[in-house]
Amino acid sequence: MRVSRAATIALALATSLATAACNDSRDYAQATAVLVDVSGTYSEQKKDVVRFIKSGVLPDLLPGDSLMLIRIDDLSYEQDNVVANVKLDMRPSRANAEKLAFARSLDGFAGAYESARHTDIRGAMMLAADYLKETGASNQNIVVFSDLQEDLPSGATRKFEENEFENIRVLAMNVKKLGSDNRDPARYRQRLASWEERVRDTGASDWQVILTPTTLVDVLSANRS
Amino acid sequence: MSASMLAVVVLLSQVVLFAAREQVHAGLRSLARAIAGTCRLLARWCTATATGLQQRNTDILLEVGRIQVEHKIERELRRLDGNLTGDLTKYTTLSRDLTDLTGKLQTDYQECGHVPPDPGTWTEAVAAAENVSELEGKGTKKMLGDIQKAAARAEKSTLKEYRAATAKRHKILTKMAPVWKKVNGLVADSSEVLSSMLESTKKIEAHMDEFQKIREKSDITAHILMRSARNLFTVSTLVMLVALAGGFINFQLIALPMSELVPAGTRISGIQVSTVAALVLVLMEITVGFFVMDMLGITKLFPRLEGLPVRTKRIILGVSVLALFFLASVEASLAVLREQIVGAENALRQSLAGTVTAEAVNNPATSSIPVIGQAVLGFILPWVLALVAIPLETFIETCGTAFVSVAAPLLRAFGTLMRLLSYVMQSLVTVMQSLYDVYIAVPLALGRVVQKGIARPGGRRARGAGSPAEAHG
Repeated sequence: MRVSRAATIALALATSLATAACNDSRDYAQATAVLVDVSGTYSEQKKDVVRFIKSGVLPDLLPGDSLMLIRIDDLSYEQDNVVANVKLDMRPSRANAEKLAFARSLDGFAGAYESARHTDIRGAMMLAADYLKETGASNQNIVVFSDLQEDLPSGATRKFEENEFENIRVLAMNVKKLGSDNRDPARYRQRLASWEERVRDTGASDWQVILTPTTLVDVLSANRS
Repeated sequence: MSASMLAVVVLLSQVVLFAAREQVHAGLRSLARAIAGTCRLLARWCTATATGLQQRNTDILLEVGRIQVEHKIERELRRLDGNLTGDLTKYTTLSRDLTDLTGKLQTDYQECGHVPPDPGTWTEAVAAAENVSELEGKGTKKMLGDIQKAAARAEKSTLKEYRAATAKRHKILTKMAPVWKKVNGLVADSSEVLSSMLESTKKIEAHMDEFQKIREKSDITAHILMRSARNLFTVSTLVMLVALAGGFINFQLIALPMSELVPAGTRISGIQVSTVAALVLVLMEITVGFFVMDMLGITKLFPRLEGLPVRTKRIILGVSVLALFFLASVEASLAVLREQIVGAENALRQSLAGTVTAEAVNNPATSSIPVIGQAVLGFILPWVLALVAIPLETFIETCGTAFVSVAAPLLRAFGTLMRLLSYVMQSLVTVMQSLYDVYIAVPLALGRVVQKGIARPGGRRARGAGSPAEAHG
């Protein structure tokens, strides 16, 4: 009797251990930070960007995913620049309601007129990296909607840490060409190359320049682990 | 490398190979023996294993066949016994009924057979009286007239009696009709019982023949059983594949709504808990189906359950059917929920694209037909999946035979290949030895010449010494 009881306990323990071993504690969710430039000529693109996020990025999010919208303006490294932030509920019905609420925030952002004098891209990227790390998602992306022409106000200092973008994929979306770029495309390419070097040196897992919205949707879904 | 250098290398190698000729040949022979021996061993093992597998499979098939035929005979005997017991108890009543009815029929028949006396002679006497001449005297005439009157009265009375008797007979005959029908029915029943018994005995006879053949362990019987098992395996595999597809559809039907019920973000080996839960639900339905089929006596997947008392079996059956009903209801509700989620998802996409208002997302207007269809599908599929136990049992029973059917010829083919390899290796070594000798042909020829040269003086010496053994050495 004692032997059978011991065997039962051993079996229960083995089963628990096996279940614990199988239990996968990794977070498979995707976290995406969308950075939207509202300075200079790019501020005109705001409505198009919001429309694309609503129709392209938001519907494909799965329960558990996170999405945040960060404004790139004069000084972007502050909480107020986070226009909207959501971590979707695991229940599909609640997740849908949260997507709707997020879409409403985006509409408010698109409707408001704003045009910054300076462009603090790095500040917004650092803010996005902080938020993304907090989510703990295994798949983290920063999508930048900007011309990538940084113009920091005087006195502002922005320096990426060594592992600032560790495990983060940076996607430069719809990089608008400036007038000077049209005259000399090498300047445009040089600007992109310098950004790539900068983010890769600070630990980014990938850097990609995307021109069409559909490609971004494909890239995001393909990168989902 | 210059040509002279190459010539020196070749020459040196020839000398070295000539010196090592015996050892190399011996080594090659050993290698050939080792490889060929291993191949032969493998070939023997393959053949023996194939034969053993087939023999064991045949034994198992015959044994299983014997048990099945025994069960069939037992079933037929039980049926026959039941018929006999039931019918024999009825037989006494039947026999009494038949005796009573036939006795009654006989009596009635006899009663019908009584015929009243023929009034023909009286008629003739009356006719004779009428023909008597008036001259023959008034006394005689009066007497004859009286006789005629009496005869007429008697005739009238007889006719009356006759009519009454006929009416009575008709009445009796009318009463006999249902009795005849009853007798006819009883006889038909008896013949039906007899036919059933005859049928049972014919079946038993056929089963006994089959049983006898199995006991004789003839090759034809084994072959028939093997073919039957293979057919069953094919059919059960096909049915299992169809069931697998059904299970997959069932799983797809409940996987999405399950995320609404099991919303935990954790995963098991990379799979979402909600997906695992849906899979478990489908597997539970199949498992409950095993118990239902076992308790109904259709399958025997759990032999221990077979020995349970009938009451316990009924309880398990009831619980299993209830559980299946519960699971089917859960699935039906999940299917409805799935349709709602999909509808809301579509409405959300349209809303975000700007074609539908937000209110429509919260209350998606959908047709009720897909909802009803999915609910019905969700309710029916668990019951269909419960039937998987039947092909699964057949599959398990016959997969051994199917395996042997495939494995035994493969083993034999491998054995033949090994035998061939053994022969090829031996031939290859002979060829290699010859090629080796071809390469060192010059030093070999020289060696033979030198050997002959040494042998000749030695031979003369030997002959001179008179010792043939020394000369040979």
